[in-house]
Amino acid sequence: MARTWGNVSVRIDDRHMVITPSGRRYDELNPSDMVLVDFYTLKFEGKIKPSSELKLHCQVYKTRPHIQAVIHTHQMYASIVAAAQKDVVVTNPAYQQTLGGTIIKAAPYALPNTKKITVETARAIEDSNAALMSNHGAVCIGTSLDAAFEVAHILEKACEDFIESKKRAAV
Amino acid sequence: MTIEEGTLQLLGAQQFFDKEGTGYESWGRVTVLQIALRMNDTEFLMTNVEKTVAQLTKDDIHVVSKPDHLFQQIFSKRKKVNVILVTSQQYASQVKEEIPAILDDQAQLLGVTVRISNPREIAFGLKGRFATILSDGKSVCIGSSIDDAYVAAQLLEKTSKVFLEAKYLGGAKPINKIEAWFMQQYYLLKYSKEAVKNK
Repeated sequence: MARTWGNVSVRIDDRHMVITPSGRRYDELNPSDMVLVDFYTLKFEGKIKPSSELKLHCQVYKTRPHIQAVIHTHQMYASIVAAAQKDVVVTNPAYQQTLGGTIIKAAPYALPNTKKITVETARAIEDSNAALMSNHGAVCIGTSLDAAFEVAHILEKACEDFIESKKRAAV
Repeated sequence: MTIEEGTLQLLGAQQFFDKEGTGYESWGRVTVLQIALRMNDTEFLMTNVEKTVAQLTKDDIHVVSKPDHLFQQIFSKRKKVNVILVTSQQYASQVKEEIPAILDDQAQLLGVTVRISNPREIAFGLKGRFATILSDGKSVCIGSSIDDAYVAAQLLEKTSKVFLEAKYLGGAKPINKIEAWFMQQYYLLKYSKEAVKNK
């Protein structure tokens, strides 16, 4: 998470989440800048616009009731695999546990802020705690904000391992 | 901005780059070699290319009316560009071919491709774009401010690393050029303005 890239949300109740605002730097944000959104109607409170990726966050909260936090990142190694539009094969058992599976899927490419990117990414993350968004980045989820950050951290390691294994195979 | 204010900005540039570079270590290394700053239509501040940006003193910053050809081409063709950075970058310096749009943020901030440019024809290399890699391995990144130009340099480095490393996975799959153009226009015309409004 850096500058204005990516976004973070936390579930408040069965109908609402708070999400980071659109186009604002993380190091300049205050609690009052967070935007309360109804994830069924997409209506938000206040004058500050929520992140443009809010539909993806809403879709996750609607379909995965136990999920409490969603993070969308543009992290380096996940971006490399996402640009190659490959699924990540996770071989480390500890990583498999955190990521919730042995394969982290790459959702097919779709333009940002479209229905297609929301639907495809939600589908790719149905059976795990992370998914890649082709040519874009990653989405990580958890039962708490700390858990979602840990998923993002482990996803980065798993992607780096995946790339290194391909490099070794190429030698 | 006065000449004095511009000079102060350039003297503080390395501190700014160090702060903004923190947390991006995995993206690669970006070293700014020279900065050109437009003051108005006839005056430009240029840093001494013999010194690193960290070593600059007031005596290394000169007001010129006619910058070197490379800078002159850019400033005359791109009226909204106020800052030009010449950089040395760990991954961008290894790229020897045009990079298509392979990441959404690249398309939005840098343009539909990153070209390899001949310094004599840099205006063409940067047409509709905010970064280019020179044939000698250096890069040129531009923006309306030092912040914008440095973001372009950082994103160029990330894009270059993704492009090079993805080769081990069968190569990065390019985004459709029209969609990449559309994303850049959306960013320039809507998203960046919305960000200002949201402050």
